[in-house]
Amino acid sequence: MTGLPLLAVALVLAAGPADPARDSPLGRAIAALDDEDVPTAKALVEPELAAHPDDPATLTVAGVLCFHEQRYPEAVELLRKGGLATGAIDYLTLAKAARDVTVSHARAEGEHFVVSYPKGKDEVLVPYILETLEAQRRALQEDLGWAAPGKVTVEILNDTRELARISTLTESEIKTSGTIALCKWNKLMVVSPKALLHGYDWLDTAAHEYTHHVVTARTHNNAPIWLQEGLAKFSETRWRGPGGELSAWSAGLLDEALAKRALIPFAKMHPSMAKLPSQEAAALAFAEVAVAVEYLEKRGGRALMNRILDLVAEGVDAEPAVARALGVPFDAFMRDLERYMAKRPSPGGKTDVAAEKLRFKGDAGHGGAHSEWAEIPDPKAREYARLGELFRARGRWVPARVEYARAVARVGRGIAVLSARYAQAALETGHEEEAEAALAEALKKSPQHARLHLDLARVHARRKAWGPAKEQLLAANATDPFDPEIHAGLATAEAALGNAERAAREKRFAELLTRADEGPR
Amino acid sequence: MANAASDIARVLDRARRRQAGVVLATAAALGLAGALLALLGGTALLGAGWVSPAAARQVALALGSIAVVAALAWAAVALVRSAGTPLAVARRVGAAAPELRGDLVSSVELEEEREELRRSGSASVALLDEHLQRTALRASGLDLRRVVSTAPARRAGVALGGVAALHLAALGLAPLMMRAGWSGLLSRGAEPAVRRADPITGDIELTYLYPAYLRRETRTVSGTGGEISAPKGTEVRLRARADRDVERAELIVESARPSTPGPQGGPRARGERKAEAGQGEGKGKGPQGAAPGAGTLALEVKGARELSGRLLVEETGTYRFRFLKGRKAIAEGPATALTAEPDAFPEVRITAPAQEVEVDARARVHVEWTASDDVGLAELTLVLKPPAGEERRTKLKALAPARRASGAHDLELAPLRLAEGERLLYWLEVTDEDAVSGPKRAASATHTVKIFSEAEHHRAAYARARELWEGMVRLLGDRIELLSPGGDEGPAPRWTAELLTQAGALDQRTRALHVGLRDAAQLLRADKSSPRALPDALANVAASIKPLEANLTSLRVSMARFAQLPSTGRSSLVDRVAELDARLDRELEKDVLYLEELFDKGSADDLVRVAKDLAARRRELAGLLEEYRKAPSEAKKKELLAEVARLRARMDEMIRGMAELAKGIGDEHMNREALAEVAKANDAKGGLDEVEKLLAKGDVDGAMKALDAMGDAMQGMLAGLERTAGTPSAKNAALMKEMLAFKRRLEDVRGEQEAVARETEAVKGEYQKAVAERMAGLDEAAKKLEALAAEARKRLARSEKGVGIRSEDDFAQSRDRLADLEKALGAKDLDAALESVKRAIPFMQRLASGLDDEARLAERYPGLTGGGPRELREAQKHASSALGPARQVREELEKLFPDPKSVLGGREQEKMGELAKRQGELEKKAGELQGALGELAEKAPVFPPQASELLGNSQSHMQRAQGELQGKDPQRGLGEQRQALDELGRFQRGLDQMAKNARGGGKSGGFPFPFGEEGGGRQGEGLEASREKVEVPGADQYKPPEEFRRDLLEAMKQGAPEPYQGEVKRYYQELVQ
Repeated sequence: MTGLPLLAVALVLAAGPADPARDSPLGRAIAALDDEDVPTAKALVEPELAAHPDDPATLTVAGVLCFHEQRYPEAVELLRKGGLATGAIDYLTLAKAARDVTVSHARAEGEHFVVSYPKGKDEVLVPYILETLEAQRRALQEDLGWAAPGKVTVEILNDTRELARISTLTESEIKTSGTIALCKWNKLMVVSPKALLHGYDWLDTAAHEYTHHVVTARTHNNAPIWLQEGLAKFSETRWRGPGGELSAWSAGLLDEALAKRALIPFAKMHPSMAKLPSQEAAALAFAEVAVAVEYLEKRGGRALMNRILDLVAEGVDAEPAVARALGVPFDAFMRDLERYMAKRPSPGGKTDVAAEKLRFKGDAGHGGAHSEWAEIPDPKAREYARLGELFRARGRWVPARVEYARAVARVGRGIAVLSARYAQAALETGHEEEAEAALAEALKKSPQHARLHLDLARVHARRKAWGPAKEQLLAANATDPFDPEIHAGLATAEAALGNAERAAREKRFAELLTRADEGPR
Repeated sequence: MANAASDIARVLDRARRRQAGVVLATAAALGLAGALLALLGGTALLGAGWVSPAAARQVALALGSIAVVAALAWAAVALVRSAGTPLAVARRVGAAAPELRGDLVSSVELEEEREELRRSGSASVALLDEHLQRTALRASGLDLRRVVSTAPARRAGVALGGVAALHLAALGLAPLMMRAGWSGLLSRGAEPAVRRADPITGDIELTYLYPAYLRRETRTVSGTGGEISAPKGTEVRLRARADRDVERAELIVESARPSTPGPQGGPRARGERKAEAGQGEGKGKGPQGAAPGAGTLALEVKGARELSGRLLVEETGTYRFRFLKGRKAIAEGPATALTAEPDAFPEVRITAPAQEVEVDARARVHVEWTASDDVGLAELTLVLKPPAGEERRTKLKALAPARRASGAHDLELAPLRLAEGERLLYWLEVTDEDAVSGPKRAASATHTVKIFSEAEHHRAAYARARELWEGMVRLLGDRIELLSPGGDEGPAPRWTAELLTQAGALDQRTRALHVGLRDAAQLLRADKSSPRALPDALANVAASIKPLEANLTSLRVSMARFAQLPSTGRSSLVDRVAELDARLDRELEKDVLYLEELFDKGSADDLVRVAKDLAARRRELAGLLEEYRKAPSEAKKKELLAEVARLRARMDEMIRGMAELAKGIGDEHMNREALAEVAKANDAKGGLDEVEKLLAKGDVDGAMKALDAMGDAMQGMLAGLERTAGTPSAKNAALMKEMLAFKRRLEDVRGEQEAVARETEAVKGEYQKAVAERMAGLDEAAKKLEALAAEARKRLARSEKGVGIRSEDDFAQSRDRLADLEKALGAKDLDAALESVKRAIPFMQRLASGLDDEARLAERYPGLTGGGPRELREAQKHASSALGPARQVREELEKLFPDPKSVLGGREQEKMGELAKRQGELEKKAGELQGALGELAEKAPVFPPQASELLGNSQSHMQRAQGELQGKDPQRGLGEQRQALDELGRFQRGLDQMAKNARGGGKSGGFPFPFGEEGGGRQGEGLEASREKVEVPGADQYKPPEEFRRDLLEAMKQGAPEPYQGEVKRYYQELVQ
């Protein structure tokens, strides 16, 4: 968020003392862009450009505006013509990169969103992301009293390399912190789940980024990182529920950090969560800020939060704004918050910290398909699991089930990969209830594990319980949507539930994914 | 009415001509068809070569001719019959036109008799004319095409066409055979061997002037029949005497062309030799078999009768003398044989090494060869065909003028820079000295040198082991499915007859599995290139499974019996089977997992090897590039590019192999690492493309930079792979740690045991000293003993006469031991004397007993045994009588050694008590070690079952040592201690080896390889013969340490301990039997 003031400084220096001053149209346009208020900036720049079509500063600001409007070829042209440096952010390079990355994209428009996505199997993301964002838009409008005018663009990217190209983050920062999506420059940038070995919660992530978009606009981009991320994290599941969900993993991290007194101070979260040193640190930071928002919600509901946001929008710093809204000093708030965190009910049990880490494809550091087995903590259980795997690979389901069961008996059902396999073997040998129990238990610890949802959907499908089956398939889809079985299952479930149109769509998606030749998922 | 008659005649004439045509055409067609058929048959027979060519040809031609002649004869007869006279024609026509038959014949007859009738008036001429006119009228209307049908000719034509078609079909189907058949049929047959003519010359003298390369002396042969036989290129000078006066004479040569000799054709290409030789020998084709060209050589005539001339032998054929008068030949002699002796191809053979050998890349292959030629060898060349690039020829030796040669050449492989698994083809070529037709070249068979590839051998070994492992996984799966499908919580199996049968089948498979594992271990051990750990592990696994299987099999048999009878013991039996089944499952599970990890480890190590080989090849390429940079040349560039291509091919192959290996690794850590490294190998290959591109452009510096970069990438890859291979899983790391801790505990126990043994030895020293003092001044006793020993030997010697084959060994042993006894007594070495006499007595007893048996046999069945009954009986008596003095010596000697308690002082006895206590503690520790070993063995099949035995034995020896020490006997105590140490030492060596194999792996300690105890173990039980090279010692080379020998002797003096006396007795009984 510091790019635009620097741009202003650069332009001032370049254009001389007279123009553009902060109160000039260009200056105000830059300020509007800084707040990601594109309509205002547009209203200011367009007359200027008409009046001074050759003025370098005008051309440059117009280029930046076009970049914010995702009109990348025009942005490149204007920035090149303007020829002025744009401060810390090289908009010309970014515009070129964005142009190149999106040049062959397909586009799909919803009521309030436009999705730009790579042609091919990413098409299966489109209806879901549109539905999610519309739902999130409605929810946030209700919560925060604001909704983005016009259509917000969502760019889906093939991998983290593309995200690095069109953002100011490096690929290493992205992978280290697990930053998989960004909201910046009046758009949402989301990496396709196909870039990860087992996908990720891409729908919640899209909703999270849209929340940033709303908060940025709502506070004129004055909200600090902790508040931004806290609201975004807290609200990322609003599209499908009341919000404020905290995964067992995040809660576990928070518990551990509290016990060790190793919470990450809000100040260290600046300038970006993506700059934190590890995925665990980032997850902990997210957990802290989400619980902070949860606490504020508990204290004063939406009214309190909107009061804080109003104050921040007025230019009051977040900390005094919180203090004023709550009527207690910020330090007291922080102490109360810590006490709240400590008292907050925890999912309990030993947290499998590594289980929810993002695993990027082609990244040896994150391991291959086998590496997740190493996460079974008990060596003997790992041995049984390995024996189970040996039998599974040979289609010997009876002995596989016996061995998996022995592993589960030692480490419990909390390890997703083990429980999924155990359930599969149990299903194959006709022990449906055993499978269901194992999956349900595992899902408590790993609610985002697509395989578990899929296996549970299979159990329901066997019983022709299409409603629950659909629910599980959608949950699997919300993490790893490129498994054709999910869409084939949805097609069957939707058909059984009488949703012929959706059934046809899912059938088409299943076929698309089956024949997709874009390499391994 | 003449007109009517002539009309009839015209009709008949037309019919005759037509009839003649039909007959002739029919005959021609049939004749031709018959002839062709005969020829076709002959052709087929000739072409197929089934019959004698001459006979076939003659028969075919004869039949063909007969067919033609028969056809002609038939035509002649038919023509005469049907067209010979007008009347015959009329009859023929009448036969075809019955309405005219009578009229026409009568018309012809009456017309011929017309004058007679008119003259005689016996009939009305007018009526005749009228008849003729009517007949003529009707005859003119005859359709001759109908009357004289061409059907026979057409049918004959069809027959001819059919035969022709048959012929064409045969030509189409078997052209070569038909061609050969026709050729044989049409050839005029063999020329008459020699035109028979009377000799016209005599006293033929031939002088042979051989080609220089043959190095033969000129040879003159007189009084011959003129037959010439000489190598090609030989000039033959002839002298002869004509049987008449002649003006001119000449030689007619029907084979050798009178032309200047010279080289014909260049050196033959390799491989052609055999084919040509085959043709030449088998079918008589080629130069020798070619039709000889005719030529005439003028002869010099002296004195009207003396003829002389010369010819050059080039080809085999004949020659003859011819006399001329003017231009006219007036006499010609018989054809005389002219034989061009062939110059055979040289031969070369590689006699060693074998057709294919597998050696190290830097080895020197000793190639032995022999070569020969009928005339003379010229040059020996070695040809190498590396896996990439062209053949390389090296002239090894000039062999001229030898006709036979042999030798050896050391083929250095290092300069060829061959990589693991690559093959080098090589052969030898030899040329002869043929200066006439040009040198002939022959090649040996192609031999192959394969560069030993450890990785390849390992892969093969692992593949073999993996097959067995798969069987083990299957067996385990089947066992679980049959016996515990519900898992640990499921119900116990209900033993029915059917289930017992099924379980029995599984037991059989288990047996087959451990037998297979044991056999595979033996085979792999025999293969020096297979990884050592693998057979050890397989053998350990086999040995662990075997007893469980054996117990289960026998218990299930019992169960099957009990199943028929209500039995009270059945429940405990079922429990025991269930326990054993569970143990076997656990054992299989443990083995499956351990072997899989061992395979992973092997695969990871192989990856490292492959990567190292790649890196070495890259360095070689860099060396070549450097050379090229210093002295660029087209040849070097070519070599460089060939090397790049070779390296690329090698990398392709290796990357494929690496990917396969990496895929095969099941371990979660190794797999991901290995896959990542394989990706780096691909990057390195990309670097090679860059090198090649730059090299093609001539950018040597750029190429070197790219190669350096590639080197860095490969180094990183190698380091990564080495790290991967050296990183065991957490479980293995923990196991290895425990094993190393166990090893340290064992070393401690051994160290303590050594200390206790040292102190025991000191006490024993005191005892020995006391004994030595007692022995002093025993000269008298010694002399007496010597006399007894001499007596025993003497008596024994008297028994020799009766000693036969069965007892000669006992006799020899007795004699030698008694001789030892005498020597020991002479040297006052009473220990050795006691040992010798103790060893002598069993042999003496056996000898006496054996001789007694033989004597009885001889007495009962005279003549059955070798000796006479009396002689044998005598011998037996002598042998028995020798036992008396020998036993006396033993008793006397035993009396001389005192009871330790009576010799040792109080302090020593106290010390012995303390040592016994410490020994007891050590025994306890050994027991704890035994327990720890059991726990480790539960985790992985790293120990053979004999490892536990070793520890157990050691513990037993410690226990006995404690007992001896408590009994205040330092001699026996020390003996037991040393045996305990020996067992511990053997066990420790196994652990040391294991630790070494684990590569001392840093913190984790490396991979827990199995340890098969060093040499001398029992086959198939984990402790198998060492593969190390062993030098077999000579009979006199082995000398046990003096101390040890002395200890043993001292211990023996005490006799066997009470509990073992029975065992010792049985041992000797077995020996005797």
